[in-house]
Parts: sequence; C-alpha cells; structure tokens
Amino acid sequence: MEITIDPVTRLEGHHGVKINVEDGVVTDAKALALMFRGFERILVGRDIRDAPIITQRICGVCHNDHRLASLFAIENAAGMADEWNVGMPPAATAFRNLVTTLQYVYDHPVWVYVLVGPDFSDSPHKTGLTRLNPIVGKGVKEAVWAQKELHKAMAIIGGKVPHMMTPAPGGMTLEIDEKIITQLVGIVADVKKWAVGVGIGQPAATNAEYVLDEVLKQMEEIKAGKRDAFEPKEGMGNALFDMVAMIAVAHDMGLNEQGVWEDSKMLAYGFLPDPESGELYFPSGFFNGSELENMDYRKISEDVTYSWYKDETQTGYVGTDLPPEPYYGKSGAYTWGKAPRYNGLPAEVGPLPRLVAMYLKKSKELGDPLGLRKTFCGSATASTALSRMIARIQEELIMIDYLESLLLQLKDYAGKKTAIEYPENISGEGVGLREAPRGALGHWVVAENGKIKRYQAVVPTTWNVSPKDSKGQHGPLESALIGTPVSDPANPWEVVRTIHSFDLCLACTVHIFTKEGRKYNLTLDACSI
Amino acid sequence: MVVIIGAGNLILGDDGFGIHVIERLKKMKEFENVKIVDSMTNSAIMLEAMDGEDKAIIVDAIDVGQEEGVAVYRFNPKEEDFPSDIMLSMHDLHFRDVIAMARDVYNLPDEIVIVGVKPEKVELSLDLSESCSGHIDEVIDFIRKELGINSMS
Repeated sequence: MEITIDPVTRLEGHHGVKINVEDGVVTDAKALALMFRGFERILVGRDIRDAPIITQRICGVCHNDHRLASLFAIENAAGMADEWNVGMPPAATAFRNLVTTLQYVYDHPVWVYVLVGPDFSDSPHKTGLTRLNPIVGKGVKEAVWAQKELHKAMAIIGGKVPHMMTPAPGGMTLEIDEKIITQLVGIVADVKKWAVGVGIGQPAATNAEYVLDEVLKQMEEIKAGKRDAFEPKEGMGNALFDMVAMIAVAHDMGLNEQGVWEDSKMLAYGFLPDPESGELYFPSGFFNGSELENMDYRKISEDVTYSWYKDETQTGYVGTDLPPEPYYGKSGAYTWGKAPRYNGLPAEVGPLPRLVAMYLKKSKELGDPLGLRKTFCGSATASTALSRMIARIQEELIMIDYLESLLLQLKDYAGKKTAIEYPENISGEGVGLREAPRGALGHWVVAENGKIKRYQAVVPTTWNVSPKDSKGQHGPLESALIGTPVSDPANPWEVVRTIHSFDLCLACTVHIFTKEGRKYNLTLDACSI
Repeated sequence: MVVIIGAGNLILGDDGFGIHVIERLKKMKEFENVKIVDSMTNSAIMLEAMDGEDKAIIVDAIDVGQEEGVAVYRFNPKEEDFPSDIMLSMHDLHFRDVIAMARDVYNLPDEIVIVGVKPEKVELSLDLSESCSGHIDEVIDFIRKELGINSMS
C-alpha cells in the first residue's frame, strides 16, 4: 500500500512524504519537497552586500539565522573572519550571539505549542494536555504572550521583526548600551519566570527534577481517572511543565520506538563563538554512529541524482557547485530537495546532533541535561522520534541559561565598537557556518569584483528531508520512517509524529492512496492531528 | 480611546483598500488627534494596536458574499463565543482565530468594528478598482459617525 501525505506543513509549506506500507510497517519512504526555491539564482550578478538582505527572506521564522549565515559567508570571503565568524570585533560577536540566542528561546516554544503540541494535546487524544489544545489552550496563550515579549526584545536590537536590520556587513549598526541591556534583562527575567519558574541568577534546570516527578504523578492520576488534565503548580515554570508533560505523554505513546534511525549519522556545524577566545559554545562534529569525528566543511557535497536538477550542476564540493539548473520531470527524480552528504554519507541535523556533539566533546551533563535521553530512549545518542523531541526541549533550557550569561557579559562591551569597514569590490570565496534552530545551516559564496558569481545555501531541512543519492542511500527522514509501525493506514499518526520530530511541520489535508488506487481525502483540522 | 486600523496588502489592488482609506484619513485635519495604524497583513501589529483601547475600527476589503459595496461587522471579543472548529495554518489565520488566541493575552477593546468594501480585483497593482475607490468617501463618513465627528464639509 502506498500512502502519500502532502503537505506536511504547519510552518513553512510544501513538503510531503510518500511511503509504502506492508504488514503494518513502513518499508520505503520518499521525502518530497515540492516547491522550487531558487534564491541562489536570484543572487547571481548582484552586489555581494545584498546577499544577507535577500537570503534573510528565505524564511519568516529563522530570518536572523539566514542573515547571519550570509554575513558570515561574505565576511569570510572578505578575509575578515573565519567560517564561524571568529575574527570580528568581540562586541559584534557578543551582539550577534545575542541575536542568535533570542531566536532560539523564541523558536523552540513555537515548536512545542504550535507545531507539535497539537499532536499530543487533549483535543484529539484525551491525553490530559488541555494546555496544549490549539489556539485556546492556556499554555498556548501564555506562549503567545512570551513570544510577543521576545519579539519586542528582538525589535529593540534589530529595529523590527521579522527581518531585523542591524546585523550588517562588517558587524552591527548598533552599539551596546546600558539602556538596551536593562530593557532586555527585564524581558528575559519575565520570560524565564514563565518558562522555567526561576528568576535571573538561578539555573534553568533548578526545578526540572521536581517538575518531572510531579508530571509523572499527575499522569498516574489521569490514568486512574482521578483528574482529567495536567496542571502546573505555582513556581514550576509553566512552559517547563508543559514540555515535560508532553515528553511523558509521547513516551507513553511509544515514540521512543518510532522514527528510529538505527544506523544514524549526525552533523553539527557548531556555533556561538566566545567573543574573546573564539571557542564554540556548541561544538562542531560528525557523529559516525560510534564516535564524533572532527568536522571539515570541505567534505560537504550535494547529490542531485533523485532531484529535479541537471546532473552537471553538482561538482563534488558544495562550494563550487553551479547555480541549480531545474530539470522538472527528470527520470527517477521525485523532489526539489537536494541530497547533502558529509563525506558521502547522509546525516541528521538539528538539536539532537548538536547535543550529541556537546555530549561527546564537552560534557555528558551539558549534552544530555537530567539524563533524559538516556532514561527515556536508552542512550543519549539514540536517534528516535522521542529523543529528537527531548533534545529540542533540553536545548531550550541550555539556551535560557546561555542567554542570561550573555546579557551579563554584554555590560563589558557597552560603548565598544561593533563594526569595522567592509571592503568594496572584493573577490574571493566565503563560507558561513552556524546552527539555525532546525539544524546546521551553511551559506557558500563566490565573489568577483564585489559581485556574486556563485551562491549556495544548504539549509537544515535539506539535510533532513534529503532524497536518495547515487549510492542509493536514503536521507535521514526517509531512513527514520522506514521501519516505523503504521497501526492504522487511514490515520498514520506514527508517520506524522516522526516527521514532526524533525520539526518539518504539518498541515491540514492528508491524501491517501491504497494499492487499489482508491483515494481518501481526509481533511484534518489541527485539533485532530 | 479609539484606534483606526487599516489592514491589507497595498500591492494587491483592492486588498489594499484599508490602507488607502487610512492614508486619506492621515491627511485630514479632523483626524489629526486620532490614533491611526497601518497593520498591513500582520495580525500581531493589529493586536498590538488594539491593546488597551476602548474601541477599534478596522478598515479592510471584506467579501462576505454581499452583492457589492460596504459591509459592517461589530462585535465584542470579550463576550463573543467563538466557534471551536479552528483550522490552524501559520500563514492563513482566520481573524476569528487570531482574536480567540489573543484573548487573555492582549487587553482587547470592548467593541471592534470592521468596515470594508467588497473587492473587485485582487491582483498585483497599487491602484484600487473604480468600484472600491468610489466607496472611500462613504467609509470615511461611516468612521466620522463612529467617532462622533461632524462632517466639516
């Protein structure tokens, strides 16, 4: 039986999945990206300084991440900094780290409350997660408030949101002053109180064990019919409570056995360089299934064997690829997505790979806070639907603490120079590497006399939803789907939840084809997905 | 206090009706002390503009199946009981869903009035169709009455 789910979008649209199901298990999967983007083609011939402004429009959610990746690439091409942007004035680096971190603290709750929360909320499944019911749930409303506050914080720095203006070629167009810091500390203190229940100066995970115990206790009571909904107690941190409750419910539904990629590979570019030493707070690395190898971006290529592009646009190394030449209808191809490969291998990107790299390179405590992945998924490095969810939540805790320490650090840079002159008419090659909330993000540019000759953006979802390559290797999402159980073909929840664990988003219409050619056209509202 | 909000996409012909109207209001002396906000297509700006006000007048292109011309809606978001059949899509939020989500988050006015004209052409253009631009004066008169301003003409 062949099942097509398209679109699978709650956020950025136009992604679908085609799967084959036999005896209640997914036997083959094709990740479909059905929209041609073409930003790389738009950029060719333009002034290199336009690139950050234009590529920022790739997304309305992770706009800052594209702007920064593009700046890193052009500043690298100008010889001002390395591929992680180390070498820029420390005040600019600190400021850019702040932009980045605010984006994370904003973005992960979007995933919890809007993109994946509805899957587990009370409205479709009587899980007791009434706080996660779409739009009207109490937790969702609180998250809307928090996001409003965080957007305010971003606008204080960036002039406007989305698409802030202040990160510019050569640094930042704004200097840090006491007023900005005071405003931001006020907002962050309020949001932190909501998120994790503690004020400035206390680690975000302070309450975590207590919250976990309380959630498990309430879960037993819900199952025994003694109560019908999860409710946080005063001072627990409502978001932390909701997130932990969601994990407990997901574990109860067996997500630790869904979306499993047995032979997983993971890639983290690393990011957040220390303004003085340049050391990356989140380390880079390639997890080959047993150990973490040093990451070398020159080993990144893009395969288009199964993508609607002419084969000659790939050269081996992504930095020298030609602008993608569309070839819709190419025999055997099934997606506009390319197949990025590291050293010829597919790799998963996102919070889990980032934390796995941190776990293996920096510290076990930091890379698997509270040992949640080890406890719920058997190992801190396992790739399952549940471990991807846990990692996203763990990262939120890490980021709130990091944001706070950064705000304190900013005082040292008040009034310091945040920009240096960006030279005109540069020629050269540049790479910008960093991590967007959804995973490793890289921009590659080749410039000649100040004009763009080649541009490539390899975005996180391209890694995760990559199709097969010339060696027949499936992409990460495809691999995770193969082997996933499907208990009810008319409602393939296991498949949808696996997709959502990669944070690709989902939408309203599910088309299902059986092998007899019968077509079901299910319109599911958010409450039932 | 009252806030007047123009909503819509200025580059999509009649969809920009609300913006054309508020741009006209901004030039009129009788509205110089009134809070006027261009929310474009952004519901967050609209909510932010209404926050803490007693009354909001939203001007937009409205197609509710009326034959043609001006349509008016009036409701109290604190009292209205919103239906629960919510369709969730980040890029296509229903006005009703936005209000439902904003309840308890923003301090919404007791009275929201939506006034607008049926669009004739929603396509790439900076100009309004004749039928829409012909209704601008009528809508401005309506807003005057809502504000209790006597026509200066």
